[in-house]
Amino acid sequence: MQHDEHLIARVITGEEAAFRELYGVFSKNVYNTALSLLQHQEEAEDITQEVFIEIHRSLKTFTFQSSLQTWIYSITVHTCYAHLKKQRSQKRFAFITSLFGLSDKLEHDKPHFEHPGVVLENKEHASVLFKALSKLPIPQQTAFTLVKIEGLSYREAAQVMSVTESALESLMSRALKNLRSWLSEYYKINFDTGAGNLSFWLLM
Amino acid sequence: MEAVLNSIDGIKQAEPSPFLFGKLMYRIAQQVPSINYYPTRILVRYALALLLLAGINIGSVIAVKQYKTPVAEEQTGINHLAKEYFNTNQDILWY
Repeated sequence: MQHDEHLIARVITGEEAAFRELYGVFSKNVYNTALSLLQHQEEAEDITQEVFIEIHRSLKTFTFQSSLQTWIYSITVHTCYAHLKKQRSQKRFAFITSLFGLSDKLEHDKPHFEHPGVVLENKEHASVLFKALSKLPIPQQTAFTLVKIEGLSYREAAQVMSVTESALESLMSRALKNLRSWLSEYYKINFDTGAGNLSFWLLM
Repeated sequence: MEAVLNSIDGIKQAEPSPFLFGKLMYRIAQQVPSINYYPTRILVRYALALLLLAGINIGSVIAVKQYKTPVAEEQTGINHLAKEYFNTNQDILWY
């Protein structure tokens, strides 16, 4: 905490080395949270820049009501929220205009996302999991990302999302339920398709 | 299904691009105006707006003055007619 206070004081005075140090400590957390939520490397980098610009602008207003890490995660989550909401509403609008023939552009789903930090043998499963995550409501997706991927405790994640611990537990419970439901549907469809193909070749 | 849910166990943090900090500092520098920054465009626009306002005010003052004279003449004309009609030498106030 004392180290954080000293670092913040140096950043506020405009010391670039101090800001570089702050960036070095927290950039991975910010980038990885954005990467897990947005599932796109370039967008995650853009969000990382937005977050640190906001930190640079607002650091003098930070009053240590929470830890510096929690505050930075909070800015990251809110920046990602705004970006995700805009993306989802653009997707809905494009879908509606394509129904009426008002737009030639067809909004495609993003290609399967592969997180660079996933162990090789888990890559395929992780890709399916991230696809399932992208279908969750944003608060559930955020709760899951903060707890399961970023490794925050329920208390820390609740502080980041400005909710109570019990609200966060509820979000996690619903997220897991929805994930299981989506995954069972996904594997049922794929299993049926695979079994159908196998039967065809056996008959041949 | 459990395998899928557990596939992110042991996930490592990805590294952002090494050039990201440089891009960030460039953007921050662009946002902070330098000490000798004079927003010329803004000053010119304000000056034009003030000139326009002054022009409108001066124009309206001139227009009001011009408009007043015929009214005064009319009043004099009406006064003359009223004196004849009422057979009096006193000026009649119409306002």
